[in-house]
Amino acid sequence: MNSIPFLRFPLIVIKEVLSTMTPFELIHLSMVSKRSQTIVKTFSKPKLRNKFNLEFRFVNNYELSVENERMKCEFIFTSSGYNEFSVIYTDRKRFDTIQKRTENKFDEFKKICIIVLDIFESNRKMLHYDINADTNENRVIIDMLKSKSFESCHIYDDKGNDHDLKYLLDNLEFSKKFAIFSIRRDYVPTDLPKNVRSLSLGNARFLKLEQLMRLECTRIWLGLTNLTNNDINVFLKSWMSSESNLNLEQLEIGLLSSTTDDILLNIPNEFRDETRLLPSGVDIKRNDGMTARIQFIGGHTMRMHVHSPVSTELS
Amino acid sequence: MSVENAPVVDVDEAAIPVEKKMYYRFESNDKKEFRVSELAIQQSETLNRLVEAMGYTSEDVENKPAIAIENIDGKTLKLVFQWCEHHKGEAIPVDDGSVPKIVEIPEFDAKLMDIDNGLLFKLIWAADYLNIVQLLNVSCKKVANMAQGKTPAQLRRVYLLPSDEEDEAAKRAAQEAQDPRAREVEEEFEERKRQGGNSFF
Repeated sequence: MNSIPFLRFPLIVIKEVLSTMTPFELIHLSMVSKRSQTIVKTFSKPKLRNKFNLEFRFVNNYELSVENERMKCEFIFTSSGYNEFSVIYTDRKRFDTIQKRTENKFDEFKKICIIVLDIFESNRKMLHYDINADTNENRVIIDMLKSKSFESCHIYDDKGNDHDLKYLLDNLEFSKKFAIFSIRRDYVPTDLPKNVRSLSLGNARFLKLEQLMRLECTRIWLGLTNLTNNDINVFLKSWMSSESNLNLEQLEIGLLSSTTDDILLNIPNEFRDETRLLPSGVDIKRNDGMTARIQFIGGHTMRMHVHSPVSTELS
Repeated sequence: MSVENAPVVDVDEAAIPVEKKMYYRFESNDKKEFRVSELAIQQSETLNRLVEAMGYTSEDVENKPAIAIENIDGKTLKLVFQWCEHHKGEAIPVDDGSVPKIVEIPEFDAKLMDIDNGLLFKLIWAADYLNIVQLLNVSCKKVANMAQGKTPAQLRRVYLLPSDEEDEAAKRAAQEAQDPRAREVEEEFEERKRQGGNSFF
């Protein structure tokens, strides 16, 4: 094999070589030895900080991708697929994928994960987690990711595994977006993450009016709810008097009832035509002048867009 | 322009005159002499500063001895100056901060660097020593490209990287070289540990 004594280069050359390497190459180089890992960390880590999005996906396979606007490098550990390595170029981006078939997905994933978290330190971390995919592995996976903060998190739960879900919510942090997709009717999460900007709950039937009014998110999506029209009427009145949900910018609620007439009962409102920024609907006003455009879709969904009157006029 | 036609003049081999403009004479550590144009020299920050500081006139270039570059051999220096002549007048690239760094290897450079790794190794050292930014960029990119699609085990062989065990052994050997008693003490300590003694003394 064609070889060259890498460690005998001057440090500036080593740094230069590393600076042109893809994430895959840096990760594999780090895996050669402790010394090579130290070299990659010393020279590359400062340049790589917050330059890539890191996405962790524990669904059927265990997947980890390192991505920026020019390239995406993805590791896939599977117990049923094939070993594959591919490089695909599109007009703007390069996609490198390594798929490895293994009987021990977690151990293989962990080796890569530790290195990636160390070298590609990034605030832009995303997590996709099927809490029922490998129930025996949930604890070790969560422990591996413990104390890490994820910008965005999507959890899938179609069977109900409250114990592990509580463990996940207790041990991981979420900063921007949190979403749980569950089809169970009795689904009750322990504590919803606080301080996230965006909250999406596929099944929010557990959510009481008081809980909804305590949410401080800017965007809320509630797929299925048990909220009555009267609950939503109370919620809107509370928002109009600046008593709750002051940060709210967008809300979508799946309605329990198919009639929507009484939702706006005793609420002053005015019909407005569609603009460039907003769909047609009725405007309601908050006591500080902010306005919300309310839109009912198909009799089963209510959307609320909070906007300042100026932005509507401009459009 | 092909590598063969690059206007580097190895005085020993062919005394073809370069364009009638300022040029300099350099000598490698194995006494090979080269004439290189002033514009080509500008690709090397080190040589550019050197000739500026010397303030040679055309007569000085002819009458004084060639400037000695003592740690680069003729074969390597020939490649360096071929590269500089081909890229003379080009702007020195500035790092735009992209990650990974974007470096394209032009066809001429690819042919120039179609050499054995021993010579490539010397070329990179020379590019670094003479501070030729773009030559360093492309030659380092060539080394980085050797990692494409390689597993950690393959990378170990490509870059001749020692394993953890080899690093440990080298460290122990270095320690022993400094203190010959160290191994004896270590062995004695291990033996006492095996015997169950808590105290070393």
